[in-house]
Amino acid sequence: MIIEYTIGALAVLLAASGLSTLLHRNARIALASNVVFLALIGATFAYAFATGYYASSAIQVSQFSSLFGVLFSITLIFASVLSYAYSNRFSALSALLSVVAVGVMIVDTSNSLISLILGMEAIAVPTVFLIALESGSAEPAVKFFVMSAMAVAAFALGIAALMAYDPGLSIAFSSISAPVSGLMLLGALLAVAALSFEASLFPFNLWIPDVYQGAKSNITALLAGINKKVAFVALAYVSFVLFAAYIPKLAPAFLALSVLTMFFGNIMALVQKNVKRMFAYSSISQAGYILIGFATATQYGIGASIYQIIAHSFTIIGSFAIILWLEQQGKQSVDDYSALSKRAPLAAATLTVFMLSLAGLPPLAGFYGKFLLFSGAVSGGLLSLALVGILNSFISIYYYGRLMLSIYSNGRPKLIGMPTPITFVMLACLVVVVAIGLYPQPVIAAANSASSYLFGAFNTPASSPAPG
Amino acid sequence: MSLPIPAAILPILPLLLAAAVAMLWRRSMKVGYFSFAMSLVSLALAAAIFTGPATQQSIGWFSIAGFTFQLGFYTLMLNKILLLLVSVVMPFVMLYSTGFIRTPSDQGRYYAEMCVFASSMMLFAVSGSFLTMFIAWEFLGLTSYLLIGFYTNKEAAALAARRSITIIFLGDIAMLAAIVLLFLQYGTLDFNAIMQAPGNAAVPLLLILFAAFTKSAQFPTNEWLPDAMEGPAPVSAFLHSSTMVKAGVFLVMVLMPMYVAAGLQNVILWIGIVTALLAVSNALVERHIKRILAYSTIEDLSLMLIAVGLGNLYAATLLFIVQAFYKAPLLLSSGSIMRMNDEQSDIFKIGNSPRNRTLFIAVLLASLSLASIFPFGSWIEKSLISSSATDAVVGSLLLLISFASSTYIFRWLFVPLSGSRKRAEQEYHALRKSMLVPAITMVLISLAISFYFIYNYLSTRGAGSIFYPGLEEGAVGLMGLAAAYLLFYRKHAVAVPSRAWLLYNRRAFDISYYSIARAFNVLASAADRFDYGLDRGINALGRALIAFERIPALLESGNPSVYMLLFAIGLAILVLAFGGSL
Repeated sequence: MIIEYTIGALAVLLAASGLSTLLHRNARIALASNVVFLALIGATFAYAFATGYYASSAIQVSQFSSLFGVLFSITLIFASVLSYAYSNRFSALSALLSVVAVGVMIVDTSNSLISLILGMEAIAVPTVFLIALESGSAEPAVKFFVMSAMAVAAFALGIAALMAYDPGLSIAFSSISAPVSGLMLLGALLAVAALSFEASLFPFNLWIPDVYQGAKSNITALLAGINKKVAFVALAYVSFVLFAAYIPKLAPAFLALSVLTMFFGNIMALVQKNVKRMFAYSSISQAGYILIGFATATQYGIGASIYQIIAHSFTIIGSFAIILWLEQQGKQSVDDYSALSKRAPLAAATLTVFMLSLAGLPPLAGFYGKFLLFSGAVSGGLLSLALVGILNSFISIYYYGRLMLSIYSNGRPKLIGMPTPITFVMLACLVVVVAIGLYPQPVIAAANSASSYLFGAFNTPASSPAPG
Repeated sequence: MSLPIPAAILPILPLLLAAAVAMLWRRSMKVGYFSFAMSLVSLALAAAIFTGPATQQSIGWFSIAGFTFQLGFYTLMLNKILLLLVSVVMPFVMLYSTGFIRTPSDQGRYYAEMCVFASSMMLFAVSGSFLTMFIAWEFLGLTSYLLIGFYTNKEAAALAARRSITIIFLGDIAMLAAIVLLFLQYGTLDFNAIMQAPGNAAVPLLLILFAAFTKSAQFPTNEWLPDAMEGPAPVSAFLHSSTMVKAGVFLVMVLMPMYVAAGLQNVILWIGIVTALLAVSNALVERHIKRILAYSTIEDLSLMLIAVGLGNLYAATLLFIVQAFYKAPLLLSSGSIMRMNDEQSDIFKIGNSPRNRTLFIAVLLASLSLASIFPFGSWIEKSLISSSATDAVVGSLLLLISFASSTYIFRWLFVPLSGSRKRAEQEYHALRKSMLVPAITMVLISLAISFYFIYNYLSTRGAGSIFYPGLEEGAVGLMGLAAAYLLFYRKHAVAVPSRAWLLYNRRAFDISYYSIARAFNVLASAADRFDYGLDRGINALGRALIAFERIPALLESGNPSVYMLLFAIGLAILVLAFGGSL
């Protein structure tokens, strides 16, 4: 009981202190309160994960939600620090960020579809304002707003379809015990489509490049590193817990979405001249890889997806930290990045490491993610899906390699020094990407126990506390 | 068990810190002293492990499809010995290096590479599974390559580095193949689990043997080690005589029960004998001061393998320890002598001066240890090896090898004594203390160790078992000394037989290596032509993909109403395609 109340109380304090910055308008205090409360929430989740704590009442705390609670606390701290680096209206940003953070925690620990959709909205609405505040024009914000409204509509229709079977709309409602019905399958597909919008799956993702490019890079980092991952968490809850009985029908849909998304992201990225847009497409293709685990639909496959989500969060936030820094100096195109290695060797090397990780080279985090995903697909009987994934990895080397060539070419453009917050985020992400690549076992074990929770504890009628 | 990391790798951590510091402060002369200090810390930790209990730990590295790859860490007796050996030799080498490496721009690179090397050697020493061992093995090859080619402005150094890495890569491939085969056969990579499992694994064992031979410079991959002497003297003393080259021998010693079970001991024995004969004949006519010692190192390693082949692990281990303490000082002193002779390396063109007593006593005692002269250095080990040779042919070949090694090492000592360079006489006093102290201290340690073992052996087993081979070995050592005196000391130096160059079999190896390389060149150019065609194919594919991109680009118009339309279409397709049973 204590842990749920602690998390709830900390979330309330986070939101309250975030909103109070609108009164005092002190950027430093705003950052400090965000970081401190997020760190406390993260520590609580870490404690819950380590002790195998399990609760399913107003909110659910399990191995799955606490692992993601830890991840999101850390990545939200990074996103706050990034926004602090260049923003001159950080107090407003900080208030919105704290609301996003609370929304993330609500989705992560949601026990019913109502809290899930409310959490998704608590993320989406402040994000609209964040995009608008930080970019010069309203266009990307409006695009995001319109598309997210459409997604919410689809999700609400999906919920309505379920209403007939479980008026309580509990996520833990086991569809296995309910009669198989076309209406429920329709609801499941509507929910999948709605979540595909934020998870950037083709063809629900066409807004992504425009918005990622239009928003300032710290917000893009938030969109790619956190919002998208939250959508995957919600997708996991909806498809593997709520609609567990429909997995045989949903898995082929995931397979199709995964293949389309990988090809769409990678082929579009090939010709991009703008680095942000290239990373937007790269991030789409990574969503396709993550979905391989969903298509495999085994405990091992979801474990691989979780590992890849963790790996990609840190890689993409670190990359956008560097992109933000260069963007502030008007450098956005691949050609602008030439000779980065001469003027900023550390940033150049770090960005190269991130891209190698995204391309899936050992011994970096991205390699193990892809390795686990592909081996899971092979052992789940989806050899062709694994081959498509490998083919896509080859395609991706082309555009990452082109940016690396540019980075390590000759020439001496002037650059100004990197602000401390950016350096901190960049190096912290670098350490994570290299460390969990060199010694992946703890993360693999954590991801597997989280995914076993998804498959085991929720689906058994009497949920018992975790062993150990 | 509260430590998150195995205790066995604790001595590595100070060295990694030193490597990081060296990389950050590249041009500071202080990084040498810091590395020296860290090597002492590492020595203290290694000593604590040496006196501690034997442990076998393994930690999960990563798991794939239910199988967890385990990193094993052992501190059994052999592991402890190698760990302590590396950590004892390292401070001496580091101290010497502070006097030897004086160019500021070299500092960071040198100490970083040395510390990474020592770390990987220690990891190798405590590895308890093929996985851990292979990681360390690869780093050994890499750091050896970097350090041989340390003088980047010398072409010979670059070529020597390339030759060594080529040969070591061959061994790496063999090792990897062996590991895969062992894994397929036993389903584990843990040393003990594999050794206790039943079944014969001759093919992987032969592959491991080949890999060990590439690292330990045994026939037919023996000729890279003399070239490796292009590296700085402390590198030669540390990597290429006392530690890294022993990795192969060590592995064979660890896996000895398997070799015995597979009946491969004779392969080890005879390759050892052939290599030793080739090495000593080269050493007798070589003129390069460090290359002679390199051939001598090859011979030492062969003797260890011969001891393993004869089943005398005790003698092999003894030689394994003591050899480091007389061979390293010889190489360190060679570096000092070359430094005093304008980097001249030909023993006929340099002068060695007895006037610098510290240096001279060190090389004299080390030479006596190398030649099997009672009661110094290698006498007890060589006698023990001879005593287990039951075959008369093997026994006489061993005596021949001992005789030759005594001859070449005193030739190495005597020829420079009759050198004509007088100017060097004064310069010898300018040698830094940091370059003198390590050599003499190590020689004294070698004497202490051998006296202790002789005393220990005689007091526990009596003189009887060792008396006869010991007498022979000692006599042969003295005969070698006499031969060298007659042939090479002062005025007698002209009496060398004119056909002696026939002993120099190195050229045969050079020619055969080059013809193999040429054969591969033919293959490679065929592959190159194939690759060119492939490349054009891939380019065409790339152009096709870029053309393909124009179709989805129509979708990315920037117009939200198109996006919304596609959202709706996508949803409709999703429902129609996958909601078939609605």
